[in-house]
Amino acid sequence: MSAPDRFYAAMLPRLGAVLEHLAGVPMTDSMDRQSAALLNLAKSVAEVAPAVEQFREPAVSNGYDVKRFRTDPE
Amino acid sequence: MAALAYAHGSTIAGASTVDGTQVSAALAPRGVNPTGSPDWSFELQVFFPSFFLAVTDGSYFTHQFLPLGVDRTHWFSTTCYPKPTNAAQRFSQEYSRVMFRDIMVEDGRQIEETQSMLKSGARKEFILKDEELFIRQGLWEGEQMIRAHQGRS
Repeated sequence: MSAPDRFYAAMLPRLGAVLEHLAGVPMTDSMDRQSAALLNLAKSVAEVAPAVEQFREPAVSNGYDVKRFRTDPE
Repeated sequence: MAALAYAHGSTIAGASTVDGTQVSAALAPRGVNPTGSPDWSFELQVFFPSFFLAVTDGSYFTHQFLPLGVDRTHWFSTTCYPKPTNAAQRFSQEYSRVMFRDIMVEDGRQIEETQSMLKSGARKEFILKDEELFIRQGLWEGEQMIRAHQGRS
């Protein structure tokens, strides 16, 4: 868990400011590169937050294998 | 993290993260949470036999179960959100999707373990509590359908 912990710890103090910036960025395909990078970082911290805050391991403890999921496009 | 996400958009459990005993109830869409429960988060409607619709503050999710046999099922789930107008709202929706996925991961394991136990035949009876009304009603409806079918054949 060291990598998710480090990433989460680095992002969380900055996340409020990141989201304030992103709130002013329209959600379009023509988003500027810096904002798109910040959005990807924010989505990544959303991905690791439950593991860091709740499970203390990369996935749900003894959970269903997510590799069995089949996802459709948004 | 949940509070940050909810500050910028709808999440499946967002209403339960707000402060104030009456705030959560006030966030329910019209016709949802008719008792005005102050710790409301979402409301799950079950359409017999196998379609679930859960309405939240600003989003909804569904489950559709299609049996393939007595011990196998296709489980289709969707989470639905408004088209995000800004990038922070898109982050909130991503957090909500992750939350939804992890709940399904927990439930999926539990359901498969229950099925495995039932299939073993180790237990001959499955006791349902009063609160498990949907399961009892579903069982009753299923029995009515089977009897009606047997009556025709």
